[in-house]
Amino acid sequence: MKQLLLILILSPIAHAGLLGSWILNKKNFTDQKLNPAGEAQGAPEFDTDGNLVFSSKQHVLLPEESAKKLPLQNFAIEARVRIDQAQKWGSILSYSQDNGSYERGWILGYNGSRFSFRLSTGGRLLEVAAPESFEPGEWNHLFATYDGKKMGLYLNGRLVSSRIVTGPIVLPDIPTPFVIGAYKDNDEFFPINGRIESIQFHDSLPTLKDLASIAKEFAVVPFSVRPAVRFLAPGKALLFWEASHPGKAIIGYGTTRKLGSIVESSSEDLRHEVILDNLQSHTRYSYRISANTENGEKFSPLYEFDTSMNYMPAPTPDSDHPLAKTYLQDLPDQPGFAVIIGLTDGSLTKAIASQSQLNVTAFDDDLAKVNALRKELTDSGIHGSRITILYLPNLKNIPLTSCVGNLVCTERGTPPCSSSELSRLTRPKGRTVLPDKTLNTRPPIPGSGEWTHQYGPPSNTTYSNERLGGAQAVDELELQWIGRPGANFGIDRQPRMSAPLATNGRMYHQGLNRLMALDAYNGQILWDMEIPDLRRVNVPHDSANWCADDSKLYVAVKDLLWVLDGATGKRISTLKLTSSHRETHEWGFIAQEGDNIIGSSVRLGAEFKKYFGDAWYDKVGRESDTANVLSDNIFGYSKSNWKGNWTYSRGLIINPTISLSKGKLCFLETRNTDLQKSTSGRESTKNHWNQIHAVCLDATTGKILWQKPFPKTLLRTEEKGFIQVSYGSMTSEGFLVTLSEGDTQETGKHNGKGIFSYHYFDLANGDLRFQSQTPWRTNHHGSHITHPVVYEDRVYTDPTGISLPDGKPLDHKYGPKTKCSATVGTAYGLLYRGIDVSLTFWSKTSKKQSHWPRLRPSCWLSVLPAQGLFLAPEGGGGCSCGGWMETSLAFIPKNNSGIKDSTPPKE
Amino acid sequence: MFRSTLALFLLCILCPAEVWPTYRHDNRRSGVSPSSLQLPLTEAWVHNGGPPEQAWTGPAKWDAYSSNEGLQSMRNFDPCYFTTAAYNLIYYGSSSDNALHCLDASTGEEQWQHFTNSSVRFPPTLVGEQAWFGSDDGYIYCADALTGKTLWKKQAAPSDRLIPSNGKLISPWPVRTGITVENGRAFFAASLLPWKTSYLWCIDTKTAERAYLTEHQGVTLQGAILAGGDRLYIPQGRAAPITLNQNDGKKTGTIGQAGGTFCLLTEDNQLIAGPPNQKERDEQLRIADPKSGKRLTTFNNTTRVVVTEGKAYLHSIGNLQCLDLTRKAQLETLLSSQRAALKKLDPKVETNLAQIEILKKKISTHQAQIKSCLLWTITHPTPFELVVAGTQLIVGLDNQVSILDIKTGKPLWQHKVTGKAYGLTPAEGRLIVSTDLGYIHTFHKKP
Repeated sequence: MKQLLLILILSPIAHAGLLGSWILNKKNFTDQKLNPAGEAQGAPEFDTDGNLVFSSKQHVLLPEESAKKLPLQNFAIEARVRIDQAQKWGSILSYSQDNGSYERGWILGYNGSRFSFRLSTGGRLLEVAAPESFEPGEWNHLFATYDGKKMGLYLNGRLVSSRIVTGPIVLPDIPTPFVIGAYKDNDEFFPINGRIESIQFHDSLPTLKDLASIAKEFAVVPFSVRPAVRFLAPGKALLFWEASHPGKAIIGYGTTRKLGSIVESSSEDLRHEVILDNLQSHTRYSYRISANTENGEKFSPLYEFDTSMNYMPAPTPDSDHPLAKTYLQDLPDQPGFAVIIGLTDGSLTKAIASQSQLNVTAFDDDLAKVNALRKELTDSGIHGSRITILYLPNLKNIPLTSCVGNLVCTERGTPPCSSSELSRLTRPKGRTVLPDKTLNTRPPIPGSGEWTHQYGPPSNTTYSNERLGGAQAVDELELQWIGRPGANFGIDRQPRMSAPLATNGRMYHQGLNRLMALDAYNGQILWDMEIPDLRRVNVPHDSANWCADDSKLYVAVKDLLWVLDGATGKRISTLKLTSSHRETHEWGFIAQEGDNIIGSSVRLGAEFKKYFGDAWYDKVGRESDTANVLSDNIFGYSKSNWKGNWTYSRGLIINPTISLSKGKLCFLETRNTDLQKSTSGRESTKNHWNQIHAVCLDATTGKILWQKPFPKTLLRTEEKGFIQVSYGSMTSEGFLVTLSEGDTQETGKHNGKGIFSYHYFDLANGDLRFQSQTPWRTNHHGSHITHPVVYEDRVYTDPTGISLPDGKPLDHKYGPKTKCSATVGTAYGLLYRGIDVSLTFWSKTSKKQSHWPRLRPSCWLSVLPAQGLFLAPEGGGGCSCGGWMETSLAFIPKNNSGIKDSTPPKE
Repeated sequence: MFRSTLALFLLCILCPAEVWPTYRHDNRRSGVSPSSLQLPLTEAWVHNGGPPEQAWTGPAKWDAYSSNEGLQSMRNFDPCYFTTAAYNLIYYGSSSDNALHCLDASTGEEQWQHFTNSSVRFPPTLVGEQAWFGSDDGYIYCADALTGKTLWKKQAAPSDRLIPSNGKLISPWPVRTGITVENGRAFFAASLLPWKTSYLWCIDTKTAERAYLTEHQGVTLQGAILAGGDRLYIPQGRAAPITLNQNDGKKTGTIGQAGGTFCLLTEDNQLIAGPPNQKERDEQLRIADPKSGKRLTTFNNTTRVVVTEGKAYLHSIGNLQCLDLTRKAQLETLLSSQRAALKKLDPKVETNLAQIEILKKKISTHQAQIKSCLLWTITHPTPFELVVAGTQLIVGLDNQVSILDIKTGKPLWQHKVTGKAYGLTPAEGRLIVSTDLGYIHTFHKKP
């Protein structure tokens, strides 16, 4: 077939800094002027806007010599593109070879559905990628930058990813195509599908003004508070947000990205709440908000929510009973379990279901009565979903695990079982209706702990004083509940996201831009919410994005802290960053204690978002995997009035070191003023580990209680070595800094040696009590980034630790741990991923391990001993090899379960 | 060869039209009924059982680390209310309201309900005039198939204990395998937690007395049990199915090439199962030799297949096709041995050259012949289920069911349904279609 040869024009260079400018439209192809030229490799087709259509095998080859003349650092590639189809190895402009271990050159393109920029400085191609998927068919602006120290990717004027890289790019030393619109090297050819309006190659990085101008052009609907979806009932969801400008807003939503349904917000002020009704079950919806802004009508990005996550109970027909209101009085209006032992006519059962969100299970010993009621309820469509009637010949001993019922009562005048049996079935803080009809609230399980923050308490001990009934082995725990959420809830097991929390009988769990509250004792889902901007990953090098207290959940979403009601998920308040940071920063650290809420400001784009591809964040010695998120300030709010109390701003605060206990707030900060001026807010330890100070503030006033220069590290020196992670924790006496230090050869390559080093500051005055160390077990799969489990008398990292207060290495090891996961502590043991890479329990007393086969935690902290239970919400989803259970579970100590050992079935 | 039980045989003899007495028709879970349906069909009635409450949620959206999107569910054994049918009655177990339901096949009217204390995830197996079924409450039940009256129930779990699960109460040893009746014996398992002992029961169908009870460690037995030859096959979802000796219930091995809960045995007792794991980028079903556990054939890009008279009907990348499976397997065995022989011959040795040339020609010929095993192919959307009724291939689709000519793939009939058609039961002259939204559509020949 005759190939139509057309010349692609290198358009007139607009200014001296522009090294190339390719405008891929019909006019430039037709005029055939200027050079160097490009050559379309297929008969060119143009769309109605005149843009060259990239489809089939169309791509444009440029002279290879021109690629060789381009700078190897200090440049920026700018492109306006529309990608119509995601694919692996999509390339917009590339000059690269990727042949086995021979990886050279650079590529601006996309991988899957995320824009990316890759380059090689002699080793493998290093990548920065947008954390969010692009929308097929929508125009985007890209800036890929490299200054010889850091590579960055800007999407629509905003930095979306950066990483530290050093040295000039190493180009291929074999003939290599210089290509627009395809990835092409010696043995690979992947043409793209879409449009490329223009590409420009600059010899300098874009200025803030350039970026601001592009950001304005590509601006989306500005939100004062970003949108979220909370499910209300089957088929029904509430979409809510706050606009930055008053006015009408329209929501387009549908089951495809073409949307289809439109609903207008009834509000014309800032707050919008729109109910989306008649939603299909188990369906992923897309939605987008459009509103008039000062820049004209703008659209939000396309967001998603998934009704598979809608587990809200269906209402039941109205029903009344004189006792129902009394029994339900003052119980939280939230889903849960009601257990009714002994029926009369079922009217109380129906009334409790009708007047609450509780899932009602009633036991009775009269089979005829049971079946009649079952039939009636089935005909109403509510048996098995809201009300379940169970036949049980002996009502004296209910074969139900303990601590299940939010409400436990009988319909009969006298319960058919003892009051102790009624109480046994009641969950802590749940209600028992005693035989004399008095209402009793069950106290918390003795020795149960609260896991309110990433590492348990805000002091980051990874131990919440949970005694777990004295259990020290798997067979001393019984299953309390099993079920949702499942694997479809989460992001993936790998990216080390925020841990679940458990307090006041509730467990909170985060998934893929969604969060959920569950009843810790029966697994009933209390509420769930889809928040498109929720995600934060690589918590070991940052801090979690949430914490909780008895009644509230505090969630950092972009630049705000959302204060949610723990029982219902309703948003009570939003707290702002300090005024000077509101346009430029996001909410970083979050903790609460007493009346204090502590927050911090991190620079836009500093937080880790990437979870696709290699996103383990623990490659030993890899500079980008030592990078911590740094806060520009830290501040205190009061819970009692939601007002700010104080702000501290001196150096750059290392987020994973911030800890809070008994009114004292401790952290490490670097006081390197040069870094403060130039940082992106995320820096490798090589960059930020100098002029480090340990600081202790009064958490209520922000006043400095003490500050001390950090002593010399024990393995890493100014000349060599690295710090893989740095953690802060507090005991009643001291501020413990645990560093994972690795050694390097003079070449900078890791030499295999590494230690956990412990630096213990007296909490009263900041005096250094001791420094000590223990060796790493290994330097991969998270072992070398193990967060310490801190007891008052000892600290465990991996595989051993130190004793307190003297800092001497322990005389024993635990484990061995296998693969990635965090270690969490109970009073009597440690839990981690061990035997057969499954969840494992190690006894402090016997030093022996036992395990639950085929239970997989996430690659960070996804299981917690708290509330008198061992809670293991699903965290391993995405791990596609292995026979994992892919489910959430909770275990109760056998001695609290009311369950006797089972024996093999009898004849 | 398929060996039905005496009871099933009698059931078939007693009923003038073809019945569907157990999940996917028989213990090979073949999905093949010998009798064709009289076309065209018209919708007789629709029953709404409410949305099924599946045992497990869907799979993860992706394996992000491996950049592997579109992971497959390996535990999707209860997506709809599967049915069995005989005596002009239709039966289904409800994962939602915990009951076994019996409907009049002509009118759809509910005849009786038999409640249990938890979800019923498989339809009953009909043993004479008895309906046998298991429940998540850890019991199996036997009811009079005509009246619903309880004849007996038996505890399969070692205790009465109940735990919350997805808003219900279940036994830690639920019966999620259905009941498989073979040679006068019924097989079922009580199993869930790999760290607890699981139990495989075998009871006499006449006396309901225990023939044996075997204990199994480290397993989660879920999905319908298959029986073929002297073996039982029990799926596990994300772990490989196990094989057991029918006579004593002892485990004989695992089939590493298999996985998931879609399993069927071919007429010569080869196991087709899938997906083998979540990691495969393409959806796969594999045929494994149960004795050796070795993979015999792989069907890529497919999740459902039905095999009858040596021919496989399956879907792959937009096409529904018919393969001569017997011929293909023979050729692949030949090819395999010829390739192995070729590999052994050193081409640097001159005396080998003639032999190499002959083998290469044979391989080339056989490769071409394998292509000719594709008997027909048509463009077709991806089905959720495939079954055969006589000379008809019945296809369950999204909001549709259709019937094709088994010899040509030519469309014969189609009709709308509400939801994804996961369950297809051609029986007694009717077509019963179960969807993921809990609807049961029944079609019959226009009176």
